[in-house]
Amino acid sequence: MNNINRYAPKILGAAIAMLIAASTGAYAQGNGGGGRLGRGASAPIPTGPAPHLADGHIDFSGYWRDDGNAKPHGNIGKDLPGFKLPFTAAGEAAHKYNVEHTVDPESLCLPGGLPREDAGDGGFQLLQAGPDLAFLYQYGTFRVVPLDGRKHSEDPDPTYFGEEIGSWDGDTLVIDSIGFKDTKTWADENADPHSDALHTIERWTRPDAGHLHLELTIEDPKFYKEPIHFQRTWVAAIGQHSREQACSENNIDVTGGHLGFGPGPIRADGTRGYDNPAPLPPPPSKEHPATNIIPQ
Amino acid sequence: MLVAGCLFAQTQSAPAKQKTPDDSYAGLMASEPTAPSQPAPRAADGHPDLGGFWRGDRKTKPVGNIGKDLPGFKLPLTAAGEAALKHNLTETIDPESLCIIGGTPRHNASGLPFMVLQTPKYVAFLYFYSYYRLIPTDGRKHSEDPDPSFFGEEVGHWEGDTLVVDSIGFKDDKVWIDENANPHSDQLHVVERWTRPDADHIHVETLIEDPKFYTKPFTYQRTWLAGKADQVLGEYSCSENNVDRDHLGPGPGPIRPDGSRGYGDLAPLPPPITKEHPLKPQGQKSF
Repeated sequence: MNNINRYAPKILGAAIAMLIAASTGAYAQGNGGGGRLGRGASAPIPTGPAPHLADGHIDFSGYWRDDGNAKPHGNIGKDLPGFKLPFTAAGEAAHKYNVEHTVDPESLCLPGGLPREDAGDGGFQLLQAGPDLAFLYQYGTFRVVPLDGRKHSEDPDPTYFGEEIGSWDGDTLVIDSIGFKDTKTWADENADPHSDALHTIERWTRPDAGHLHLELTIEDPKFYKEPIHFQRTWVAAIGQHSREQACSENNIDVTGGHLGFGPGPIRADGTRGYDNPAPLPPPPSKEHPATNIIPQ
Repeated sequence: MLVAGCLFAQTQSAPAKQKTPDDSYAGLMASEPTAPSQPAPRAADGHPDLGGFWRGDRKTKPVGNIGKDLPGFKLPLTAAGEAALKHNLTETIDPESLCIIGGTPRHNASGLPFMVLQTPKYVAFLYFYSYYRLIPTDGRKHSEDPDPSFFGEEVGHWEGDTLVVDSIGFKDDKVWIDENANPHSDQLHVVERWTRPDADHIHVETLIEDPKFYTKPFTYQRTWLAGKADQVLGEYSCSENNVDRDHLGPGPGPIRPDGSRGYGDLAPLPPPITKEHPLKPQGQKSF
């Protein structure tokens, strides 16, 4: 029994990748999950028309990675002049509160939710099957969107992704979401706020086999004076798929004390985040495996 | 999760999206349909479609024990396996209650419903606690040295109407093989054989091999019942207000009269949130 190769702490390569991802916020989100090839990978982008399912609708299934043109990442004000969001007074106060008093909820393994996931730079998997469309994200979270024509319920329970209702407008998949939480959530990686009055309308298209496009409208009359428009394109990543990511495993962001409030400083490349001040151990290898503590 | 006692607390904050009686706690399990079942639906590629919302049947007892089908529920532990079980029982808090992924085969022994989405190239299992596993079914082989993970490296293929999922490359740390704190090592190899005998049922035959912790392979089988056609797995934020960290002891807790195990909720829960008595955020300013 002395040779039981078990019991914490064992830090493995995958876990280290996760640690980095979790500890550096927006910066690292292109690296984990399906990111063996990572953002900017040079696998050829497929060409030709978008595939259709037997029911005649466009098939959005696939692994989608950022096209490299969405800058700055993680900012729902990306497409506004000067990136300036039309805050109400309450929205200004909420933004100030988020920046000065809240730790990035996603780094604590809370779901990113909407519209944050649409502004993140991590790749994601879409699975379109029968009456449902699933978005499989990094950090292990997912959302399922029913496409069966149902209506919003009268008083949906607040969630991070909201109550999502899918419908088809020709070849455009429209996802209308209400019923959001208003605590422990950021609207994007910049700590921009949203309230429980948030209403998002996503219009997803697949103009060809290799591209996925989003036109997003964000309404939140409590925190924003007018609707915010945001658009984005992803490219199909052949051979990649979403991978397991155990956000709560060895999450040093909870206990490490290195994350400050808000999104952290802006880096040279326009991303934001706190860097991990503690050096990570070298990756384990077959020659130098992770050290285990063996119980007596 | 029943085991951890956290289900009671966390179900309140994340019910399924469509409010029906089946979305209550009691609706996690299902009863056999009274009408004759229809044939299993088939996907466009001819395979049975395993997709849908699946709930446990009430005949599966005890829930959460991977030795359910063995005489006396007795697992064939090696000496190392016995030591690992003892460690789990006395030194580890239920990893799932700490929002660490349950993994394979634990989720198959769980009392919670799940959802399956099937496409020609992938099958996804979506679970409570907001975790998923994604199984490629394109005929690929295992890689030479897969990175350890909670669900393992999963490779699927079809044998007639059976989806076979072969998994290796598991973690051996911060993981229980079931809700009873039984152990598995990094030598775990799981072969799941999934079938949908008719529209109302999904079935798995599981072969579990782990020569480090078990003297011989053993099997586990289970049937689930179809949920409503429009039932969708709702959001479930495990790390939001997770009270388990503070009151759970090591191991799976005492055995209840129904054979399940778990620690009770030591702290009384607040009354349910209503429009008349809305949630008051703690430590959060309201605007």
